[in-house]
Amino acid sequence: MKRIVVLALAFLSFLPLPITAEQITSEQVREWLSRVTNAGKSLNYEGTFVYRHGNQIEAIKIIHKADEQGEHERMISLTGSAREIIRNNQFVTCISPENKSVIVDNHSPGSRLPSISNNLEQLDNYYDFVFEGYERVASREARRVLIKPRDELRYGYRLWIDDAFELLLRSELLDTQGNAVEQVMFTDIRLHETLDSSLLEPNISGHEYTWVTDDEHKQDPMPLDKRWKVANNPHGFMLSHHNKHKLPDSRMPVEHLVLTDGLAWVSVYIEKAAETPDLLQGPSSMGAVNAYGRVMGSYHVTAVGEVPSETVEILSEAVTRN
Amino acid sequence: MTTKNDDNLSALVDGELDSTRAKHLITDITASDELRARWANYHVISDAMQGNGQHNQTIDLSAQISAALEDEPTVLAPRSRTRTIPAMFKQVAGMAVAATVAAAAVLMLQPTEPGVFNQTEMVAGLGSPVGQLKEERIRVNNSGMNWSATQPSVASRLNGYLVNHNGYSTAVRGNLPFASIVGYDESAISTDADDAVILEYNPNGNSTRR
Repeated sequence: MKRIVVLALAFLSFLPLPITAEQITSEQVREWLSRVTNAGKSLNYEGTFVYRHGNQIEAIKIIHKADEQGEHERMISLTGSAREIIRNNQFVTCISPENKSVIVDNHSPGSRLPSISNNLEQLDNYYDFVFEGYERVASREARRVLIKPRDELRYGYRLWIDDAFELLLRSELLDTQGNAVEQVMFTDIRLHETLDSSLLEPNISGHEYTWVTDDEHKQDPMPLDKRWKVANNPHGFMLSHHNKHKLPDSRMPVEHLVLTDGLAWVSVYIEKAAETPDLLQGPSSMGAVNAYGRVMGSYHVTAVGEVPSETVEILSEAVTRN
Repeated sequence: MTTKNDDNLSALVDGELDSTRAKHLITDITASDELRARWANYHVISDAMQGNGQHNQTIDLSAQISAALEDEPTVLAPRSRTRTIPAMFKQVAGMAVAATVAAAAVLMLQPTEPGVFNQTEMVAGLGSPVGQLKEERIRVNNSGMNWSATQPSVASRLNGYLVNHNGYSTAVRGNLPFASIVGYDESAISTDADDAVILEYNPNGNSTRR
């Protein structure tokens, strides 16, 4: 009997071992993540994805082209109003057939994100990275990854990364209980060597449309009030950008601090309280997005982001003016 | 009658004529007996070709009568010709007139928006009662999600913040930073006209500031 067991063990040891989830280290998973952002920018593809947030679900067609001129992208809403978003690098055009308007927004290159890879080391302090195994998405083989927060001040993520091209095929934003509060999933995706530019043209003729732009980035950069600070990187949220915008419906420029722990992003907007009566006092939420507003002297501070409500409250309290 | 007109009539029957030319042709049809007759014939032919047999007899009949008239002794022919053939046509043409009037009525019922002349509806209208045409679809008003415990004015402000913020929070949505804008409530992306700069449209996809 003993001999049989020994034989069996000897036989088993010669079998090639399947790659198990445990063999993929946290570092490797983080490396995949750094490549995901790049793959999304540099590949040519077209496909359809569904986007669920709260109790809403939408289907959106996407065409993405990358060439010497950079990134070109067109997204068409397949459900509800046939809205389109066309992006040429930082130049974003939103077409809304319902109110016959075209909104043009020129995001300055400076306001584009650094990729998450810049923050990988720091991320380790707040999240665990686990490879959970392979799963099929949009009829393609994908690696399923769990990003698990180490505290209750940030949401978790479950990501499905295309095994061959390292494109993000599916993502879930997980609340502190682990429930998916927002999901994006490709239902089909086709990768191409090249893509015809005509696929990126809008459907509308444009004649009946009103073209508007918020003009935010065309004006000269407004001087920043550098006295606004967020002290001591609360819970790992560091200042990533400090901007000043004139938002579409505001008369006065808004001071804008962008905070991130490397994965979660929170914006803090600061306005003169007297000039805008319609400002949030206390908490509010919409789906996975939480906001917290408070008065600070003659200013009003609002923190907004896809983080738990406690976090926006803490971050709005952490803002100081020296 | 030119070949071009024939082609146009044929195209109109098939619903393939562009709106401007269709408008002109309809005006011509209303004014000309001959065009009306041809118009009716085209419908008959079109129906016959699509296997709608109702009119086949009419075709045969008129053809037979024509043939019979050709065979009539010459003495009777001139008189008969001037009366009988137009009489045959008159019946068909009468229907055509009725149809054209119906079409005109349809055209007038359509809201007069330049450039939105709907030919498909119009051509369909020639054969069907006017009442069926005016179709108003009830659209589901999908207001999207909204902010909890806020007044609309505060919610609108938060939407403004959120759209701006979404330009930043793209790390994990990866390549889909604007997906949320495509999905959002209209009010989130509507811009106050006072501050907006109106752009002139240029078909190349570029726009210039006015």
